[in-house]
Amino acid sequence: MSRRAPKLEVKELCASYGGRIILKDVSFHVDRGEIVAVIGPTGSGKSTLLRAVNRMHELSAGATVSGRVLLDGADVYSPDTDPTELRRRVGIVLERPIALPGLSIQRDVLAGYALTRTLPRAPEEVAETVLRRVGLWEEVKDRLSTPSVGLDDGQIQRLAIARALALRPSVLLLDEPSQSLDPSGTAHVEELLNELRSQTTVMLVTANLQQAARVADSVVFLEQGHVVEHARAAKIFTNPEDPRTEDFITGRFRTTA
Amino acid sequence: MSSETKLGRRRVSLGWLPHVVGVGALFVVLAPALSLVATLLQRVRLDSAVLRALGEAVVGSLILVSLGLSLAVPLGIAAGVHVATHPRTRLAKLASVAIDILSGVPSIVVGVVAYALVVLPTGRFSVPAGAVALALVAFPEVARSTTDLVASVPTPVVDTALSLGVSSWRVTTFLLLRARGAALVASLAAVACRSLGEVAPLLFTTASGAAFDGSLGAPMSSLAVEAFLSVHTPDGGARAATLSLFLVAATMTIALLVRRRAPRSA
Repeated sequence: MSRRAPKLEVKELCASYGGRIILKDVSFHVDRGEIVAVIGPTGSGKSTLLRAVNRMHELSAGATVSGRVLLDGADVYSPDTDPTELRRRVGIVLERPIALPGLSIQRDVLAGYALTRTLPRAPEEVAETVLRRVGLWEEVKDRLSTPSVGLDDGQIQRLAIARALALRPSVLLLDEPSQSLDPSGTAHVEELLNELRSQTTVMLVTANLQQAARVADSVVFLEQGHVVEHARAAKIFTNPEDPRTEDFITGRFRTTA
Repeated sequence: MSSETKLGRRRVSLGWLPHVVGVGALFVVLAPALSLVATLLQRVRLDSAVLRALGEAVVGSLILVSLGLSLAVPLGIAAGVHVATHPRTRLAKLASVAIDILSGVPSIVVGVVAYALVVLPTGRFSVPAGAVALALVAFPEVARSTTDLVASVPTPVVDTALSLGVSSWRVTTFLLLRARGAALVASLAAVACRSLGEVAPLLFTTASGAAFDGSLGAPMSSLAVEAFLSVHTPDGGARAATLSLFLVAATMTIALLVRRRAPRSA
């Protein structure tokens, strides 16, 4: 894999929550415009890894982080980095996305602007563009001023992706983005990921190994907070080096609890 | 009355029953009270002096409650937000204890405190003294409501807002104004209604009976205090009933305004 100017470098990252260690010396890199899928069993630290990359993890009481996360070569944990500004550049779609109460569909899509009172020049156009990209425009175009909490789970999932995209992040972190979607919605998300390729660097946590195989350029396999293997997707899914990776992707994985 | 058929058996909905019971209970409680008030009102001589006293009491109540809440609401919301969002800080723990203690103090004691703080140094009963007393009564209620409201906002809502690069302060403001706006307005309205009915704190700070001279530095009458004091006058019962009716009308107006104007919680 190319080692030239990675967009994102994670170096010896450790994270804990309430005294429980969740990530242990995690290191890998993501090239610019690459889609990296993070796979692993439940509780392996996939979501924590995403939240540590854009400093959401530290917001939880009792959470600690050490190690380095370099974005374009600059450590996101350096004192000079403003975490609120970082979270706009490194967008995240959380595992169970929600509609923001009290906001219309249009304002919810633009919440990143509305809540900081920095609306873009043509807000309606921005909202339409991102809603089209996630395949939601046709479903909501006639009720943009109605409350977003009225949308169903699949629509809220896509709305959350649109909300993150509206801020034009250079890195997008997606935590199980197809969890509440039917096959058509999943196809929309995967089309979107292919569209984003080369423009935006994407880290995708997914339990859907077929999805990882379809869209990811590279794959990080996490187990109990350790990186077991990081390689090109084709290699991971056809000829993994570590037997634990092979066990997991072939369904022979067993927890060691 | 609605009904539905299920599995061949006719099932009758009893959804109307609570309404009937509620209206009935209201009638049982209110009918004797209204009858008494009507009897007393027949004895009221609505001459110019009575009307003037009523007007002064209404204006006085509005001024005192407005000033009291203008002190209590910002301080109470700020304290409540801090306690909810930074519960582990020393300041939050201190504020939490202060709120607990203040909310348990009888309002007559609050009146004595305000008397010591404002009336003794200035040497006279005054509107600011009354406003401070009402603010001390309202502050813990506003702070506690705010803490409960902020703490009741689901974590995913907070996380989503923070993940968009919104500062913690803006997130809290957004949550209060949007997610819990209606509930906050309702609790503030309840505090305003209770403040309108406060007598004890005002007896020590701004109790009147004398004519209002137009100065905020002087004593000022209010509906609840005048109702209390008028009991000892010759037609006291009737005047107290009239003033109480105005109090009921004021609190009902506030409640109706809140129902109509409050933003809807999603």
